[in-house]
Amino acid sequence: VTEGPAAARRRLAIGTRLRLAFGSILLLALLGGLAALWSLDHVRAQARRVYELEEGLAATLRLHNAVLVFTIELRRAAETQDAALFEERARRRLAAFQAQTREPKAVARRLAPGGGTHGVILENVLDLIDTVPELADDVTGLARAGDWVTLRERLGAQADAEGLVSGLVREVDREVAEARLRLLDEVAAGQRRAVAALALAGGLAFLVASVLGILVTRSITRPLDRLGTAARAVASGDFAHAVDVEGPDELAELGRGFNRMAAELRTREERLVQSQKMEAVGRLAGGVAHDFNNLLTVINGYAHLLVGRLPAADPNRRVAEKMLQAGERAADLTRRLLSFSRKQMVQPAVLDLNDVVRDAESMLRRLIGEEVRLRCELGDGLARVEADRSQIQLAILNLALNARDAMPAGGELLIRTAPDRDGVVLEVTDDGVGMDEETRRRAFEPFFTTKEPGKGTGLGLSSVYGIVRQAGGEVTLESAPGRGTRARIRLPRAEERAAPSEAEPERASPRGGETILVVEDEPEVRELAAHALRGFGYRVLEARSGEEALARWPRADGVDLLLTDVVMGGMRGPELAARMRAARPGLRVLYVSGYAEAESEGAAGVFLAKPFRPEALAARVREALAAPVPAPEPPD
Amino acid sequence: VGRARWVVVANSLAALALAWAACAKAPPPAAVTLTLNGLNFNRGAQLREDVLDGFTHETGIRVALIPTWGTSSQQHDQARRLLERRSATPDIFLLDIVWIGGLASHLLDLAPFLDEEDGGHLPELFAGDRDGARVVALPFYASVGMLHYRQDLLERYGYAGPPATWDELEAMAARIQEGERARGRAEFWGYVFQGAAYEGLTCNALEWQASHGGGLVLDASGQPSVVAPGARRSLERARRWIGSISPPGVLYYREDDSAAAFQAGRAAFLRHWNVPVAGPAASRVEVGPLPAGPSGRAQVLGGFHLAVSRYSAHPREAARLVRLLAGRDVQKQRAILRGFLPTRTALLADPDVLAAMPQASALAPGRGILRPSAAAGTRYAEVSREYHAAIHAALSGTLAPERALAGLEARLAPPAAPPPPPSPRP
Repeated sequence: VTEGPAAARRRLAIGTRLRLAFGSILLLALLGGLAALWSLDHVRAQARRVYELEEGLAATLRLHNAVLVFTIELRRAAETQDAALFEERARRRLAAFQAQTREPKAVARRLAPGGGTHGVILENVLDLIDTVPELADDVTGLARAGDWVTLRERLGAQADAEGLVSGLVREVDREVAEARLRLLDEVAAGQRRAVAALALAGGLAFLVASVLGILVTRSITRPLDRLGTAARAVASGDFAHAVDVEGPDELAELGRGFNRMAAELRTREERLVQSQKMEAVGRLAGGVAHDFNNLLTVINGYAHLLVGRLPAADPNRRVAEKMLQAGERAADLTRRLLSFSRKQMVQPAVLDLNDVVRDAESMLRRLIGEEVRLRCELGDGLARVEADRSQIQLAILNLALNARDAMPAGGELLIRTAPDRDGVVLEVTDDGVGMDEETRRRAFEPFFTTKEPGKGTGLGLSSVYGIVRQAGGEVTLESAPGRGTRARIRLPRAEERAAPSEAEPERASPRGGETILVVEDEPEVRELAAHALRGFGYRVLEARSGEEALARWPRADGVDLLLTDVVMGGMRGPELAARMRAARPGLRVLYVSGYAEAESEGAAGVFLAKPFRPEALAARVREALAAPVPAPEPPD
Repeated sequence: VGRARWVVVANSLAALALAWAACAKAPPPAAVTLTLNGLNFNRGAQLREDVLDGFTHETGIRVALIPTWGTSSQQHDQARRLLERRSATPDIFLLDIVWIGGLASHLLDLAPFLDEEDGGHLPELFAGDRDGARVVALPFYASVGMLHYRQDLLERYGYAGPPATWDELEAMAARIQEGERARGRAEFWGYVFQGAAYEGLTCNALEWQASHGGGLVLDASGQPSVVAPGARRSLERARRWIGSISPPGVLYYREDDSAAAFQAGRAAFLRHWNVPVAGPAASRVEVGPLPAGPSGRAQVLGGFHLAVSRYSAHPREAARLVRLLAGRDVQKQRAILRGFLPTRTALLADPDVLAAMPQASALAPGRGILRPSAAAGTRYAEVSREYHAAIHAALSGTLAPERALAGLEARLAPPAAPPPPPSPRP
């Protein structure tokens, strides 16, 4: 059975359907019972008729009996042949007769009008009774006249009249008998009708119950079957399987809920796969970038030194400068890879996103050019978020650049901030060419690009992704070909705490004469650092590992600052620092690391991210030497 | 699914209705049963045997006879009750001719069912069945007052034939009575008739009065006409009979009492109807016309007629039965077989009928007198009652004949016209 939408709309709720079905079956059964009762109505009417006939018969018999008694008494009185005595007796007998017949006459009069033939017979009986006073007059007259012969004959003739009464009684009796037979017939017929009515109603109720049962059950089980099939499909991973249910009933509601659940599961699965993929790519990129960082630190460090030593007129100086430039670009790429893989060293702070956007606005205007109009809609009452300011700016920058590229003929770029459920949302919307579904899904993958070779690195959106995830948020894209693109970044609300000062540390002279212990397992990096620090006037001690440093300077005598890599084969930087501080409390430490995990290694102190330039190293060293002496570590 | 479900339910209900209809199917329409009121058991049984069984066999119409007993006036009272109640039962009434006019408005007009075959009744009888252009009854059989006499006694006392006049009757009755009493029959009387105060006395007295030129109680306009000298003379004659040739008890005799006295051999002459009345064993009974008075013979013509109730459920079938019963064949058959006097002129001269009932010749058209039912209309029962009460009072000596008749005239005066309605007040 196919159902059109109209049929589905007409369909009643399951409870109503069941109640209607049961109600109609009950109604049928009730009607059957009523019909059975009604079919017995004839019986009642016939029984009443029999009762009335018998009542009439009884009345007739009593009247007959009264007439009989009256005539017999008069005949006995006539035997005296005494007129006065006879007259007296006749008068008394007549009075007695009138008294005896009063009630049966009343019964007969009551029954006669509606009795048909029987009623007319009753009236005839009444007429006969009414002749009795005339009879009494006549026989009294005859007695006075002394005509006893005629008197006796008249009373004898009255006996013949009794025969007539008997005949009437026979007639009535015959009618009663017939009526009784009819009553029996009616009872039998009534029973048959009642049984037939009950059987019919029962059968029909059974039929209707069966049909309704099948229909109602089917109307429930069919959607349930579909739901079951869909549930199995979803369980086996086919999230695309939707349940085909329409209508206002409970199962349709259940089906719609199921469909929503399946769609949600599908979205989540896609997201999970995506994030796993990104995770894998990120791990790979992070590993590569770490090694690259070490190499680039060395290359760029020496290139920098070389540039500084060559006189400006030396033709090799240009060569060295080119090398340095390439090295810097490589370092930049590595940094972006790291930011995608969320291993960028970050310095999160509690921020107002509106401030970040406002700070970036003028730079963005310059970047996106004349054809693209920039509009900022900054929402009120934004919660603060915890993130690295420069990283967020970088993310906005990347999104803005992508938007510009999507609008070669110009358009509008909208940056919008607004409060979100438990955080802040930042949207970057363009009305450019948009992207198809495939592109949208892969847009965050590193090195995935739709731009011509050489025009983009394929790392812009990847780094946005990394930055946002690292800040604990999420980023999504909405787009369709020709319909523009909207990138939506959600960042969680920052836990309330005092915003750390973002004040730049005082710019100190990079030079100094303190003793610095450099521990680094990469010899090139170690040598570069030592070389650069010596160039800034410091006294430098070198160790290839934490173990060597402890062995050679177990008490760190004369060491002002420990410069150590965080991640090393063998003893790690923080452990080394802890041990040395145990021997020499107040020892300043500067960590160098290519990983954002350094902080999680338990290292407390000043950090320097790889790759670094000699000036940055010198600045950080000054900073670390100026830092307050850390509190002694509690012994483990 | 929704539509299919309701189709199933609707079909089921239709099936229920059909099955119910089949189950409660009405029995086949019962054959028409007509009810006829007015015959006693014996006469009913005769009629069933003679006519009705054949009728039912031929037409499928059954006839139920409702037995009755009682006088003519009681039957009238009952018919009036039933008709005024518009009872559908009985369909057919057998009524004395004197009641037809008073009940005409409740009786079915038979004219649409009649043809020429249904005519030919004695005009004076059929006149009572007409109500304007309507025909509300048909004559079934006639009755006429007759003199039954003991031919053997007449011969014993040397009379060649029955008395021709009332004077002859008185003389013959007195002589036979004297002779028979002398033969040891102390209870023997000369003449018995119907002297009880009932419709029968009306008939007897009317015959005496009319044969003495005393009128028919009411004239054609409904005015009393009893004070004529003939009426008084006839009443004085009848009063003379009581205790002389008629037993004092005759004042309480009805048809059966007088017939019983005659049958028992206690009377020489009997006034009765044209039905055969037997005499005692070894007697010979003849029947002839009543004796004449100074104004000739007067024999009351009565008759029983068949009428159909307007409230009958089966008027067509009832009319069919009435036509059959009043028809030539049935009347002839019942005249020959049962001694019922036909109402049809042709049958009164029919040789077969005359062979079976010679006295039928007494009923030539114009020979009978009618009770004043036509003039009295619905008042007839009252008129008859006043009349026979007055006659009875005179016969029993309660009142002198002259005074009885004078009082009767006053009571028979038609009710004064109702006073004109009061003129509306200005």
